[in-house]
Amino acid sequence: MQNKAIVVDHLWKIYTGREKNIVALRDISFSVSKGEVVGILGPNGAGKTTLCLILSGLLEPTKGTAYIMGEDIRELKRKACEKYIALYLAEHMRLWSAFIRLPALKYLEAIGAIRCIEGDLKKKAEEALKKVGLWEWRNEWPSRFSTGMKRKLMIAETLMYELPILVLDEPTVHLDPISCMEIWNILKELAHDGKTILLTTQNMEEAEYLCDKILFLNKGRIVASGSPHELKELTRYEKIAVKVSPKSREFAKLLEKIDGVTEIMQVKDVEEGTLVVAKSIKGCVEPSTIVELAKSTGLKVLLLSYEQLSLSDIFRILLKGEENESEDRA
Amino acid sequence: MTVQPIVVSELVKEYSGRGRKITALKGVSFSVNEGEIVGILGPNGAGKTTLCLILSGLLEPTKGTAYIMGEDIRKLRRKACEKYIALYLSEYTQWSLNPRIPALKYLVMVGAIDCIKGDLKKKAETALKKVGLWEWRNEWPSRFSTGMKRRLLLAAMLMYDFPILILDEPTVHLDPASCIEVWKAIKAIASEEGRTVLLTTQNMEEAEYLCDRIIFLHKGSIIASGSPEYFKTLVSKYEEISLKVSPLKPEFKKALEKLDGVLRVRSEDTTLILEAQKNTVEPATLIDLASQFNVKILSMSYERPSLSEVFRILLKGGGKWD
Amino acid sequence: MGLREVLRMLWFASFINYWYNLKAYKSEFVSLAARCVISIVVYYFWGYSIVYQKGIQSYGTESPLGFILSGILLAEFMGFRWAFSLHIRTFYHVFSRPVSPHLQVFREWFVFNTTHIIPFRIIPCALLIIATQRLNIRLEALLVFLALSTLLCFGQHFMELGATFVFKKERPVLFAFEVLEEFSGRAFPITILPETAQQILSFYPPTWAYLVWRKVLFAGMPVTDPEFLVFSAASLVMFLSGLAVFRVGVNKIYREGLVL
Repeated sequence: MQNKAIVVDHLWKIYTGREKNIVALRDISFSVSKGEVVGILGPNGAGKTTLCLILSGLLEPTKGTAYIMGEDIRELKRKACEKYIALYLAEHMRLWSAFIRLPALKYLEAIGAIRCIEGDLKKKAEEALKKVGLWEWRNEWPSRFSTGMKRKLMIAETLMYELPILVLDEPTVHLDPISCMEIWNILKELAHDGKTILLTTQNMEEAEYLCDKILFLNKGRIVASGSPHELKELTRYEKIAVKVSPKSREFAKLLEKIDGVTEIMQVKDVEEGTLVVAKSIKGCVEPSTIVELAKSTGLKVLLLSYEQLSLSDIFRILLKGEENESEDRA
Repeated sequence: MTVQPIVVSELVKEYSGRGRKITALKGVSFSVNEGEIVGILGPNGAGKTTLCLILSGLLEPTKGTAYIMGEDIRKLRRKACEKYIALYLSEYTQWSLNPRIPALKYLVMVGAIDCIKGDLKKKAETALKKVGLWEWRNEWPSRFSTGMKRRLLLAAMLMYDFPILILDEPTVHLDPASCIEVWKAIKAIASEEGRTVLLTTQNMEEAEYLCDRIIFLHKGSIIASGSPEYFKTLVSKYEEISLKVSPLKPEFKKALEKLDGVLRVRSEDTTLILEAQKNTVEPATLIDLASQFNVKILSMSYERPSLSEVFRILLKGGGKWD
Repeated sequence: MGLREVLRMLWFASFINYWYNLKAYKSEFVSLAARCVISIVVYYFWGYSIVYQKGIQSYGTESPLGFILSGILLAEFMGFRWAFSLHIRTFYHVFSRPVSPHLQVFREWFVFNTTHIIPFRIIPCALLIIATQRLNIRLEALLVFLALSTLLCFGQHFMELGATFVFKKERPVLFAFEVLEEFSGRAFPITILPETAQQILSFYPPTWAYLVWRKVLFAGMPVTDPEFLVFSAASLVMFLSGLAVFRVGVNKIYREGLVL
């Protein structure tokens, strides 16, 4: 238990409604070591935000509990946010309106003062700004920032706390790939320095790049867990991208009939021809089969690429698998 | 000869205030054809939202102009939103409609409040079918998942019968499964209804899946434009082809090195990695060559930079792909 | 977290916060000043209630209750500024609808009136007045007044919206208008204010509305009365200038965008 920052033990959360109860979390158990980055993925409404709120001590679990740095969250409650956890909820955070007409640096100092952050505020604000890549904008008013820059400023606010655990709910939503990368590098550095990071995201690239471990939630249950690499290896499917010329949509239908091909994922007309992406069982379809098929219909294969399923594809398969399971049960 | 829905000509937008000038757009020109899906990509603050607002006639360009269905946006102004353009800025229903009425009735109400002409019920039905929500027509939108709510908003936009849809980050906050549903709906709108779609996004997967063409904005100028495929080939002259073969024969490797366009071949375990010039080596060639040496190619992959990597390279320069 | 941090937090959250709020929204100085003045005025006519009595007589009534109730009634009819959904934050969403913004404002007024105001505020208040006061109304004057004050009300709201667009601030501008309306005779007769103030206020059309309204209700004012005619002209002026200010505001946002 010593090096575990977060331990979740058979957690349940049931919201009682007027007509019926909503089970948000169903018997969740997992643990996070210190310095680990764990990503929580899942469709909207799967219980990710509920989990973040419970772990921050802001929502009472119905059954079961969680241990933050060894302390029971049911007793800690809100104090978890004072001692251990910095929470960042992307959808609910707003800039403090009175201060948005101050230079960004002063804005951070003011927020630090209001949030009772200890120490030299000016230095902390400077470091936070530099880390998120807003240093050249330190004398600008946040009211003039674009959406992405405002988000970075809010992340800087969260970084000024020096607490060991960061719980981030969709931290890089609205950010372009470069700003994302900047934030990811910051988070990686923080994890390297020993901070534990729990984040929720819909961005699969983020999950792959950042997370040591991913937990996949659906309808309140953990459906899959493992490192991104493991999740991608575990699946028995792979992706085949074929570009044929000239353009032909019928080729997709022929491709589907090949033994081993389970689904056509995408058909798109591009400049030189048609791009077809299909899902097939690993090792089942040989390149020569596809080239022969194309030749037989008078098409030329410009590109043929076997790829590992991306994390988004895995996401969709897991979700569909869940749907099929529940249909079977029903 | 149908008129091009959107033609942008040397558009410049400068914001001035308190003695400082910010140039949001520096001479942007492009055009969009009917039924095309064009994605506007770029870092935050590059001018994407400014461009959307100018094209909808809600913001005045400083210099240059745009033509929506042949009409000058400087003269059209707000009327562009009454005649041609349905704009989606973020999840907002202006009239805070009660989401506890069946989806079909909900759409009819939205249509009535926005003074849409014609048979509202029929329009609502067609719109729902197009976005794939027909089976949910008697359900309450308050029970929909976020992806379904987005699709419902898309259906509402469809009812306007406008030829152009401008969507600002349509799938932000959505999980990959809901994203696909929304993308399929948008594709159906563009291809079957012939509507033109202009969208901004930070989601590279969305750009690849949806867009026929991508326009890349940075600091107010277009630094590249073309199909997603084109972008991938843009940053590098070379591509890497990995072949998993069985068995691995040195003669085969030598023969590969002699192929036209191949620069280098190296081997790692059972995989041969070729570095070749773009678009010179065809799969058929490799397979034929392999069969000459009685080698079976189990799988092959052409490694191209992902769109996010392209994005980063375009903005910073440098990377594995130089 | 020690005592030092707590004190610093209190300092920043209260005084520094308030100071920057005032700095950012300079019109809050105006509302601050107005609130002080109103308190003084209230003290003034509480302490000198004869002045208040004489003041309301020039409005055509002798009953303070009648004066206040009628003021509330008219204010309910005219004051929607906090209920509209067209703000700076929703500007682009409202303007990108295929319906003209003027029509949308009319729609909101119509809906808000029919579903909230008339059934729950205007009718009870009107019944109260009828029950407790002696009324002397000429029907045609009442109808014409209601029609013209609707026109004035629209003018007022377009002017307020336009002003929020010009200054790109919402709450301070609306608050300033609220204060101005307070000073045009809603709850106290403006005759208790100094001469210069009265003269300035006579250029603000709602002042005439509040004056004529009481006279129509309690003193049987006819349509042909000179004050009524001034009111009619004032409503028209308010309507037209409101539309003009709205247009100026919209154009400003069109040119400059919403960068604050």
